[in-house]
Amino acid sequence: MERKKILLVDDSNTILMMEKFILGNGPYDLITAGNGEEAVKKAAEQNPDLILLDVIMPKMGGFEACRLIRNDEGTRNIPIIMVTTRGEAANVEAGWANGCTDYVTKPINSVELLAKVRNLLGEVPTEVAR
Amino acid sequence: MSAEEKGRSYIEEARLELNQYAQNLLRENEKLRAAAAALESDKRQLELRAIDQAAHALQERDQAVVELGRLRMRFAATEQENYQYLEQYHQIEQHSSNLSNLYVASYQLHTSVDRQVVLNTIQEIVINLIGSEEVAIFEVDEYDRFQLASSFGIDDQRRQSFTIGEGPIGQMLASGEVYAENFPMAARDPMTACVPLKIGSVVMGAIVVFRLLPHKPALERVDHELFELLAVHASTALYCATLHAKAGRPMAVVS
Repeated sequence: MERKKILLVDDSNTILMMEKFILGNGPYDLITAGNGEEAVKKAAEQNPDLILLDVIMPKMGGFEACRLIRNDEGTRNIPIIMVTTRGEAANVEAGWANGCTDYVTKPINSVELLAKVRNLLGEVPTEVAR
Repeated sequence: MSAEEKGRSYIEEARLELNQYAQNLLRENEKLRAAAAALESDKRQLELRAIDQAAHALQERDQAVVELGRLRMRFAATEQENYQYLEQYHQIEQHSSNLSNLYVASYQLHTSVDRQVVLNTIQEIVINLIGSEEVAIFEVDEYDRFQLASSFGIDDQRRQSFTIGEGPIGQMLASGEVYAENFPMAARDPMTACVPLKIGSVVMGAIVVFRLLPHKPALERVDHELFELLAVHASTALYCATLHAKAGRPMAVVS
C-alpha cells in the first residue's frame, strides 16, 4: 500500500503523542507542527495528503491556518480534519466556514479518528468507516 | 397349344404370381409389425427414461433448494461472524487507545523536572485525555493547608485554600482515595473527580476536576484508570519537580 503523509498540528505534546500512537501503525509518514504558522509553512513545503489541525494554538490558531491553506493554490485540496476541544455547533460551523473537511473532538476517540482518516484517504469503504 | 390350354396356363401363372405377391405382402407386413413393435418398445423405453430423468431432475432441484438454504444460513452465519470480528476489532482498537492514553500520560508527566511544565502537563492530561476544561491543582503547604498551585477555567470560589475534612473537597480527600462521579452532568455538584496526590500514604496535594466538556456526558473506564495513574505519577512528578526547584535546579532541566 502506498504510504500517505499526514501533518499533525498541535501545541500540546500530549495530543501529538496520542495522534502518533493512533496513526503510527498505519501506512502513514507523520510530520508535526506546533502552531498554525508552522502548519501553513509545512503544508506548502511537504504537500501532505491530510492535515490534523488543532483549533487553539499560539502564534496562529487552527481556523486562520485552515483559511490560509485553502487560499494557497498548492495546498487548497488537502483534506483538513479540525481537532477541537469544543464540539458545539458554533465552533464546528466556524470550522466549516474556514474550509475544514471534517472535525473530531477531544478527547480523541481513536476508532473515530482512524475511520475518518482512512475514509478521507480513500482507504476503506464507508461500511467499515462507520 | 389350344386357346383353352393357353388360357389355363395364363390363369395358373397369374395365380402363382398372386400367390407370390400375397406371400411378399405377408412378409412385408410381418417386417412392419416387427418394426412397429420395436418402435413401441423404444417409445416405452424413452418414456421410462424421461420419467427417470424428470424424477432425477426433481431430486436435484430438491437438493439444490436444500443447498441454497444451507448456503443462505452459512452466509448469515459468516455475516454475523464478520460483524463480531468488526466489533472485536473496534474493541481492541479502543483498548489499544486506552493503553496509549495511559502510556502518553505517564510518559508526559516524567519528561521534565520543571515544576511549571509538570503542572501544565497535568492540566493538559485533564483537558485533552479526560475532557474537562475546569481543573484545579492544590498542594499542601507547611501548615497542612491545600493551596492552589495551578488552575484552568475555574472561578475564585474554587481556588480557596482548605484543610483535610474542610469543605466538599477536603471531605473527599479525607479518605485518601480517588473520588470520581460517573455521571457528573446528573449530579447537583458539578465536581467530577477529586484525585489525592500521595507520596506513600501522605496526601501532598490534589487534582480536582470540575465540569466535563459538553460533548462528554460521562466518565469512561479509561478515565478512572487515568485518575489512578495521576494519583501516583503526578504526585511523584510534582514532588520531584518541587524538590528540584528547592535544590536550586542542580541539573539541566529536561523538557
